[in-house]
Amino acid sequence: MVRMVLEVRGLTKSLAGRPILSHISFALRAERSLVVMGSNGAGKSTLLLVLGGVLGYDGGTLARFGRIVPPEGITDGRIGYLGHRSLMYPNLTLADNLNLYARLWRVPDAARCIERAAERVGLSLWQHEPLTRYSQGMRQRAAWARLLLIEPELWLLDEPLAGLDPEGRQLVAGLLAEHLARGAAAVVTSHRWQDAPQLGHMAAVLQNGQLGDWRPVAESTPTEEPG
Amino acid sequence: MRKMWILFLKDMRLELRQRDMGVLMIAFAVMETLLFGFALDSGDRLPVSEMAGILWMGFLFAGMLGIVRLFGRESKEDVMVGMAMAPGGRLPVVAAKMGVAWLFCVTTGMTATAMAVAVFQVPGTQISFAVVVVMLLGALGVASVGTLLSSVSLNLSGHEVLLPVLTMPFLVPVAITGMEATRAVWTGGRPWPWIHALMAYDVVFMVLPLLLYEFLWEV
Repeated sequence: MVRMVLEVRGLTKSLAGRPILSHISFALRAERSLVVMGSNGAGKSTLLLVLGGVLGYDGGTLARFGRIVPPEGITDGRIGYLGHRSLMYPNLTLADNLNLYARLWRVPDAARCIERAAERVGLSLWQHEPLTRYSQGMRQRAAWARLLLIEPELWLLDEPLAGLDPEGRQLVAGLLAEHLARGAAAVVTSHRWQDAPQLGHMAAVLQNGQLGDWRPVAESTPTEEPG
Repeated sequence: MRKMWILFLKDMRLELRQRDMGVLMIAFAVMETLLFGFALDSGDRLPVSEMAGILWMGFLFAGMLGIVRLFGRESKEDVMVGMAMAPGGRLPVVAAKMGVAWLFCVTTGMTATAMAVAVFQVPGTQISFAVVVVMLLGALGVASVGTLLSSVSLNLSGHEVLLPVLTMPFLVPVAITGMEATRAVWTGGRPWPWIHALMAYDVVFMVLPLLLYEFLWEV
């Protein structure tokens, strides 16, 4: 039997009195990836932060790995988040940042895992440089190294292809495929339908706080844009 | 506890590299005391009531300087999200920050006291264990109030300007009790009623951030 990773029912969320998410419902099982499409400001990032427990929710229910998450939100080490920023200290080197995350996540054999993660994202030669010397694309790769290091079971990826060159996009698609093949799962956001096939199996549009119907990404047309 | 310790050590390591918080606070406290020393012509010994006032004003302003920068390193790359998502929850993140702020405030307070004693010629007999206790408690008050307000205002625009204004009223009780206790010690009076009041205030503001942090996280 395939394990359920996420079960969301009637989830609502407001920020500063403004409704952001309204009655969101979906389920995600292991080895699957869902793509949430939406224009800028549609609430995609908020949805991921609520799923990750960084933000709480106002109504409905949220269950992760078979356990209900309390409304105030609670984080879980089995979840990894990749946002628009690297979540790393700019004045520390990549190796130091990864070492910090390795200690927090109790990664065994950390030194070897850090080396491998940096190598996989093509930053081996740069790992002892502070992030202040990195370009935006390199910081994005550094964030991927963090995710690869802690190997979470659920990836929450906020527009992971934005700003990446073709090589970077190929790398992300490959990493995501490997992740799913390991029996893990992912929720990915994007504002470009063209990216959906590289990111997941099913896609739905988030608009005015409401999530549309899920449909296989193969059925979506490349010219169709959300919002 | 483990997560808190890791985050505390990380902040210490960053401070050793960047020297943009603790060093700044201590430098401010030292310079403030020296400037007052010149301005008030400490050749003639000042009344102790004024010495205590100058010491505590310098300490509080130096403390605020540090508090403004308390979450500065985390804000640039959303590091708080990464730290909060690590196993162990959000509470150790704020507890570690409180510990860091306290350590820097204690160091600043002790340096400022030593400077004040030297510059204003406080007689050696009036420097006692009680002054150290008052400074430790005062530092705890500044650190706990500062951590709470700094974490709450982190995502507000104009955070660095707004925070000192927000913090000042909450530090008035720390200033009054600290000043009065120090004054009492230096004049041979009874500092303990003031120390007890300072302790009570510290307890409230140590517990408040830990209780409210989960709710204030989204502000």
